[in-house]
Amino acid sequence: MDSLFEGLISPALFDALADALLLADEAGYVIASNPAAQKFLGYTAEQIYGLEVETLMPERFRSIHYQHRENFFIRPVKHPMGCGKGMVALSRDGEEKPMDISLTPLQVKGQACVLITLFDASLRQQTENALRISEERLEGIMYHMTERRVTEQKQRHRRGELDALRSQQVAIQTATAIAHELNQPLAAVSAYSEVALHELANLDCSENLRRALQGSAEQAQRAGKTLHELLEFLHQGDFNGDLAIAPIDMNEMVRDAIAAVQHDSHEGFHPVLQLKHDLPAVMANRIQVQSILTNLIHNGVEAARNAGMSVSTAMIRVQTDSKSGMAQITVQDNGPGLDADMASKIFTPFFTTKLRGIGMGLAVSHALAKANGGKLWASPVAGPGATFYLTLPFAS
Amino acid sequence: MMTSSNKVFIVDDEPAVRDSLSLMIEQDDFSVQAFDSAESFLLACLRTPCGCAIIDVQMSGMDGMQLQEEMINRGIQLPVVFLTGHGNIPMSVRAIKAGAVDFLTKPVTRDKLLGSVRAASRLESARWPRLPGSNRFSRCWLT
Repeated sequence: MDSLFEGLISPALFDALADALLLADEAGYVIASNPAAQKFLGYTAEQIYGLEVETLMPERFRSIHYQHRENFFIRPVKHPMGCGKGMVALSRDGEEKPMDISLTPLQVKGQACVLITLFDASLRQQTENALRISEERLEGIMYHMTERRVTEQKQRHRRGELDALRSQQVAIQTATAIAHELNQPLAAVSAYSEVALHELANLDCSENLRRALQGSAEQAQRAGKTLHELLEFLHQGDFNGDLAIAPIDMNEMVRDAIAAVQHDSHEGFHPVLQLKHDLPAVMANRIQVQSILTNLIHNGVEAARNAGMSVSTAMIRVQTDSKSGMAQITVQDNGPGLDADMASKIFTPFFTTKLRGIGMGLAVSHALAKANGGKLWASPVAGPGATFYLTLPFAS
Repeated sequence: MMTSSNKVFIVDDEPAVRDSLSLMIEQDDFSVQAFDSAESFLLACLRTPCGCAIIDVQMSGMDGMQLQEEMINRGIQLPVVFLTGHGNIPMSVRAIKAGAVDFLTKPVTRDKLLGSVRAASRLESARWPRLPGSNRFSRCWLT
């Protein structure tokens, strides 16, 4: 051994190097090894001495290696680290060990030899694996975050649309309610004045009285006309082609509305869905139907929660069905319910049973159902809690 | 000259409207009976009465359009004049198709209302021209 490295390297240094080193001769036999190599491969210095290098690799690589070895000695050039990357060593006890290899041609005592440096690659592979896993996980997280952002954006957009629709409808319904309330006394004033005028027709009375009555009838009618113009303006989008309608899947709409109310409300509830399989699509405006459904579900949750129900007992049952040629959606809660008087007034603007709220939600939903060719009504008797029915026309 | 077809029923949930329209129609020699809701009208309407009805569209509870539907279901063939605070074309088309004589908006002028009521009344007389008096009476409103 000492003589072997003469003039090349100190044997002490060869032994002290942390890298596993083997020296093989032109015939492919190991003629020297350092302790790091012995440890890595599981041999003693004596055991490894004289072994053919192919012994130190799994059988499947051996035949190809003979050729590589012959080629190496025909043109012996240094093979740096990396060209032998991903190779496998076979230890004495048969374990396959991932390694990287570098080959350095040497002249030892006039003989062509090769210095083989082995690097344990298991650590590198472990690191690479860990890195790959964490990269994949990161990609997953990024994907998930993007998905979530898209979903959140969609939800924000939908909420924005619903809010805009609601505030617009509240304004319209408020103005409509006021116009209707004013129109009634105007109709009476106009009629009373004309009745009085007619009574005076056959009497001898002052022209001033006649003029005054005529004026009051005309002015009441003029005010009424103004109100009709206002109402026409407010409702111009309702019944003409402005309403964008399309075939929609009510079961999907119900699931969306449940999710939306669950997402929006801080107070939980227990949804029970009884959705009719293969329910044909209805023809309606998606946003308006969504607004009706979320309004009904939200009201139900509030009614149940205000009655002291907990998250686990507050229940909303939503059923979809086909009834007399229309799609019928039933929304039922297990709150205190409605008596007959409340059921008849509940769609009136500004009627409310809530502590907070202006009593426009159901008035708006009622108007929207009607604008979509459907109906919305409440049943005072059908359930333990309040039961609302919504019908919408089928697309075909 | 009061005949049975000179009877006018007013269905409106606003008391001042019922009162003022009753006065107006009575001035034209009709007899008037007023109801404050669709439900109370249907309760009194056990058989097809003679005459015609002026029905408000927007009423709490059963509205005017639903009342018309219910009258058709029950076979009550009474000419109907609709009065509405806020009408629209599809609604009036639907009402007329279902047999309404007219669809008027409030406030309504005397000329328009009486014109429609007279037309409805003529329609009613034309529909039952040769019925013997006894049969007519049996169809008529009993109060």
